Amino acid sequence: MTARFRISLDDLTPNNLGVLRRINSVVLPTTYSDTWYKDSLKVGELAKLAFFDEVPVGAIRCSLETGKDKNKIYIMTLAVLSAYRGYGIGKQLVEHIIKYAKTTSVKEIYCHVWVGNEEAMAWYERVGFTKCELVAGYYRKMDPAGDAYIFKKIIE
Amino acid sequence: MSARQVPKQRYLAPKEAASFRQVLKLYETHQYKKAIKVADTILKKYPEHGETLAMKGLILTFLDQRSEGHELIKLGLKNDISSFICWHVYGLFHRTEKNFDEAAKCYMRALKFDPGNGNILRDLSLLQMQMRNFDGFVTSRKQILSQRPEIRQNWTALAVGYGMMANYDLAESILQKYEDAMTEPAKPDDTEHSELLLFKNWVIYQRGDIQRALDDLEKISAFVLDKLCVLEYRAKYLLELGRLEDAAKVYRKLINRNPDSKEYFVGLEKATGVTDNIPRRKVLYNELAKKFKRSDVAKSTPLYFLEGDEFQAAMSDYLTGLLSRGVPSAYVNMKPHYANEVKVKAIEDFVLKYLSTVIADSSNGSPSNGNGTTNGTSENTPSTYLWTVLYLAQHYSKIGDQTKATQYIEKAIEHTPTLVEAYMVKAKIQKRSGDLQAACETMNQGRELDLQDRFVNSKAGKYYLLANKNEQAVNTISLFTKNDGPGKGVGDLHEMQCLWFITEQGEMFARQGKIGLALKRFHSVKKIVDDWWNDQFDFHQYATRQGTVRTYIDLLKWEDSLHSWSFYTRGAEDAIKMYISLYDTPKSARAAAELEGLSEEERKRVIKKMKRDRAKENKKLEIEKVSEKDDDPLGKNLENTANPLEDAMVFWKPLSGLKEWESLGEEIKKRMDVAKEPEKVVATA
Ligand SMILES: CC(C)(COP(=O)(O)OP(=O)(O)OC[C@H]1O[C@@H](n2cnc3c(N)ncnc32)[C@H](O)[C@@H]1OP(=O)(O)O)[C@@H](O)C(=O)NCCC(=O)NCCS
Repeated sequence: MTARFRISLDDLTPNNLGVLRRINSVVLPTTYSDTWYKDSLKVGELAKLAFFDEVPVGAIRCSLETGKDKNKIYIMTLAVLSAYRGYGIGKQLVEHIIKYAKTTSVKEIYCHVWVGNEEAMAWYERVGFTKCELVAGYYRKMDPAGDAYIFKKIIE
Repeated sequence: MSARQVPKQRYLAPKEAASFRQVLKLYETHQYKKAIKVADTILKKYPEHGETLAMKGLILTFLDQRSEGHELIKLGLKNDISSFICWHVYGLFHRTEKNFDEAAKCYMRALKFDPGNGNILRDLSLLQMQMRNFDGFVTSRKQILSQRPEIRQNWTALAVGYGMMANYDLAESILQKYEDAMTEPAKPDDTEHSELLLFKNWVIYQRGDIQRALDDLEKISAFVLDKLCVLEYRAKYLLELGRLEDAAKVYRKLINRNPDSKEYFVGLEKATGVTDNIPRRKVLYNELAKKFKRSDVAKSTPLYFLEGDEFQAAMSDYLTGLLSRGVPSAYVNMKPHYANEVKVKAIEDFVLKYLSTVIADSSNGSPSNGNGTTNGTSENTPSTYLWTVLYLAQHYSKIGDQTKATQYIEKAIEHTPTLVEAYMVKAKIQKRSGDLQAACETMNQGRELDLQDRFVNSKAGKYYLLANKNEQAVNTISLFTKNDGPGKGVGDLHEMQCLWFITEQGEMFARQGKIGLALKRFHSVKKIVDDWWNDQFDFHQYATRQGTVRTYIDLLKWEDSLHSWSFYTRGAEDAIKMYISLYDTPKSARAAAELEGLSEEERKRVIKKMKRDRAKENKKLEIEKVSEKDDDPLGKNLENTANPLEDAMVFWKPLSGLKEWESLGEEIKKRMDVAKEPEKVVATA
C-alpha cells in the first residue's frame, strides 16, 4: 500500500522562522519574545519544522544546557497543529532530537509539563520519557502559579 | 574597379589613406580609443576631411559622448555630402538612436553613392524587416543574393521575406533553387539544413497543396532532426487530407509522447470524428483517461462537453481526485466551468456534500488520541479537509458571496494557520469585499510564512500598492531586488522591466493625485514595451544566421501584436485618460478648484499645506529616482506638459487600428479638433 501522506522534517531558517512563530502562537499558551525566535536560528539541529505533505504543521525547539558533570538538552517548545496530531509527527520530532543527542556528549533530554496537561504527560511517557520530580510553582505566570513535572529521557 | 576620380574634399595622401583604412579596422574590432588617436593624426593634416570626421564622431558615440559624436558626424557629412561612408555612418547613428526611419533614409542615400555595397544593403535589409517594409526587404535581399549566392542564409533570408509577404510560391521557388544549386549533400547533424527543410515544407503547406506537403514531408523526414515536428506536421496533413485513420494513429503516438498537450487530444477527436458526437466523445476520453492515468487533459476535457448527470458524475470523479490528493490548483483547474451557472451549482452541491463526508469521516476514524489507534480506515487526511474548505472559499468568492467565502477561509486558516495559499485566498476575498487595508495585511501574513516565496512576495507588494501603501510595497518587493541603485528596489524593477509593478505603482500614484509620478511610470511602461519591440532588431541578423527560421517567423508575428497586449494597453489607457484630464482641467483650474468656496482663513491654510507638501516632495526627490541619471524624479516635466493631447497621442499610436481602442482615440482627436478651431476662426476673420 502506498502511504496516503508523507511526513518530513526540515531545518529552521530565517525564511521559515515565521512558521515556528505561527505554530507556537496558535498551539502554546506561552508567548515567546523576538529574541527567543532569533536565537532559535542558532541552535542548529535542536530546532526543526515538521511537514505533512508539503505543509508545515509541527515544530520543536530545544536548547543545549552545558553543566559541570553532564550536558543536557532541554525541550523548550514542542507543538503540532491540532488537526495533524496522532500521525506520528510529534514522535518524529522528538526522535530526531534523541538521535541527534546520541551523536553528542549529551546524557539527558528533559522538559517541563504542566500537571494539568494530562495528554502531554501521557504522550511523553508513550514516547519513552520518565516522569520525575514535581517543581512547585514552575509556571509563575499562571494564576495560581502552576506546578510542573519534569519528564526525562536518559541517553545511553 | 571604377576609375572614378576621387573628389577633392575626399582626397588623402597615401599615408593618411592607409591611416583611414586602419581607423575602419580598429572600429570594426571595437578598439575605439586607438581608432580616435589614428583619426586625429589624419585630421591634423586634413582637418576638414568629412569621412574621417564622421568616423570619429561615430566612434565617440560608442565612448558615451553622444552629442559631440553627433555634431562631428553632421559636420563630416556637410563636408562630404556625396560620400557613402558619411551617409552610412549617419544611418548607423540613427539606428543606435532607434530612429529606424531616418536610418533607412541614410542607407538609401549611401547606396546611391555606392550602389550594391553589400554591407550597407545588409544593414538596410535589417531595418526594412524591423519596419515591416517587406517590398523593400525583398529588393535588398535579392541584390545581396545575386552578389553572394554561395551563402546559404542569403537564400533563406529572401525566402523569409516572401513568406512574410505571404508570397509562398516565390518563397518555395527560392528554396528549391537553393537546393538544386547545392553541390554536396548536407551533413546529418546540420541543424540549419534540417530547419530549412522544415521551413520549405511549411511553405508548401501554406500554398495549400497539402498532398504535396505530405509527400515532401515523407521525403525529408529522414534528414530532419526535429522528429516531433515531423510527427505534428504529418498528423495535421493527414487530418486535413481526410485520411482519418492514419491521422488518428499519429495523434495517438503524439499523445503517448506528451499526454498533457490539449492540441493532440483535439486532433485525435477530429481524426476519430467524435467531436460532434457526445456519447462517442465520452467513450474516447474514458479510454484515454484509463490509459494515461496522469494526464489532466484526458480527465478534465469531458467536463467541457458533458451536461447534466453526466457532467455531475465526471465532475465528482475529477474533483474527488484533486481534493483528496490536496492538489493546490483544484480551483484553477475548475475555473473555466464557472461561466456555466448550471455547472457551478452542480459543483457547489458536490463539494458541500463531499465536505460533509470528510467531516463525518474524520470524527469517526479520527487519528489516535492515546489508544494507539491511528487513523487507518479512511482515505482522507487532514489535507483533504483543508483543501476542500479552501476550495469552497474560492468558489464562493468567485460567485460573489464574500460572506460565505469568509466563513470557509476562516475554517481553513483555523485548521492550518501555516498554509501560504490560504492567506492569499483570504486576502483576495478581503480585496473583493473592498477592504484593501485588511487585504494587504493578510497577504503579508502569508508572506511571513515563507520569505523565500517570490510569488507571495510580489502579491504582498501588489496589495500594498492597492492599499496606497507605497513605502511598505517598496520595502517588501525590495527584498527580492538589487538595491544598490537609487530608489531602493524600484530602480532595479525598471531595469528588470517588471511591468506589473510599474503599472500598479503608476495607478497608485494616479489615485493619490501624484500626476507627475503616475505619468512617469506610464512612460516607463511604454519605454519597456518599445524596447522589446526594438530588441527584435538583433534577432533579424541572428535568426537567419542560425537558420531557426520558423521560430523567427513566430517571433515576428508575436512582436507585431506586442502593443495590443494588456501589459501595454493598461498603462497606455491610464496615461491617455490622465493626459485628457490634464487637458480638460489645466493646472490653474485645478489649483483654483481646490480653493473654491473656502473662507479666507481656510484658503490660507490650504495654500500653506500645499507649500508644505511641495517641500516634502522635494525632499523625497532622491528616493523617487529610478536611475542614476534620472533628472526628473517626480515627473514634473511630464505633468507640466504644454501639449497633453499630443502626449496622449504618443501612447495611442501603437493602438491605432485596434477596434477596441478606437473610441479612446476619438476622445483625443475630438479635443485636438476643438483646440485647432480658434486658429481657423482667426484665419478666416
Ligand atoms: C504532544 C504533541 C506534540 C504530540 O504530537 P503528535 O504528533 O500528535 O504525536 P504523535 O502522533 O507523534 O504520537 C506518538 C504516539 O503517541 C500516541 N499519542 C498521541 N496522543 C497521545 C496522548 N494524548 N496520550 C498518549 N499517547 C498519545 C500516538 O498514538 C502515537 O502512538 P504510536 O507511536 O503507537 O503510533 C501534540 O499533541 C501537541 O502539540 N500538543 C499540544 C502542545 C503540548 O502539549 N506540547 C507539549 C508540551 S511542550
